[in-house]
Amino acid sequence: MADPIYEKLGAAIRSRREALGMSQAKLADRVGMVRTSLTMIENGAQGVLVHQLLGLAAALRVGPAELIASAVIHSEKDTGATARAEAEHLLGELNTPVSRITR
Amino acid sequence: MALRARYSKIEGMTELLLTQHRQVRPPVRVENIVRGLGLEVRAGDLKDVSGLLVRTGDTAVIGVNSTQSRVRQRFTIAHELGHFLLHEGIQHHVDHNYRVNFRSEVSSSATSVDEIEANFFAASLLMPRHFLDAVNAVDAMDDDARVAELARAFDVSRHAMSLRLVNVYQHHSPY
Repeated sequence: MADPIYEKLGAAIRSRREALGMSQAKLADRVGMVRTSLTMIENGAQGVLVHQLLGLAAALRVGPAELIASAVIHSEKDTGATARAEAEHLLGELNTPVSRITR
Repeated sequence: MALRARYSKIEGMTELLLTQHRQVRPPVRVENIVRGLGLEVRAGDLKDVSGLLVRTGDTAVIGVNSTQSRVRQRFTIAHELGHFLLHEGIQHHVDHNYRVNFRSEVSSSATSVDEIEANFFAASLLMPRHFLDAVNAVDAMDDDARVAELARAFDVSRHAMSLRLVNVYQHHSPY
């Protein structure tokens, strides 16, 4: 699976599972998946089908959007070059020095 | 890069900053702290961007979106200062309308941890635990009027204050 989004999604699933103290075998069992598939998913080596994502989210007691969000946010910000270009453009918009902001 | 947010370290840093800049009561003058550290703050219409941080050598420029509310701008400045002090590897950082409550356990990617840390830094700096203790803020948890009163005193949004109260005093919560 080439798309790095699956690595981020897999990492989010693993992190949440570990935070709950749940084994891979137990989570895989809950969502009706063999453990090796879950390992592949957590490693980003296998894509995730929608019904699997929903099952994993339910078993991990989080919204599917939350699992996806970490992948999306990461892919948006990954490239230093993009951030630099955007920051340099935005610097041009910053025309007011701020010396006092607290009421 | 941190894999888990460094909450204790961050609270230690914000306590030290408050002491060094003689901030002893709310509202915390975040602009004075930022200026004291040699950073520059500039505002402008940044559209969907809340704030940004651009490093130049040892210092940096913090940009804040002047179209957002003043309390939001204060939080953004504190958030960007957090990135400056905590995330040295990042030269240019742009925050698109970040979520103040972005601290879910699910947010495991390194970038998410950075955002959680920057938010926790901002909340700790603007709503220090001992300032809250001093006004018995624990009693405000279930009282909207008191949350609003505290938000005014600390010059933060009610939303940010509610989240901070839960975070600091959650072991007192009946829920």
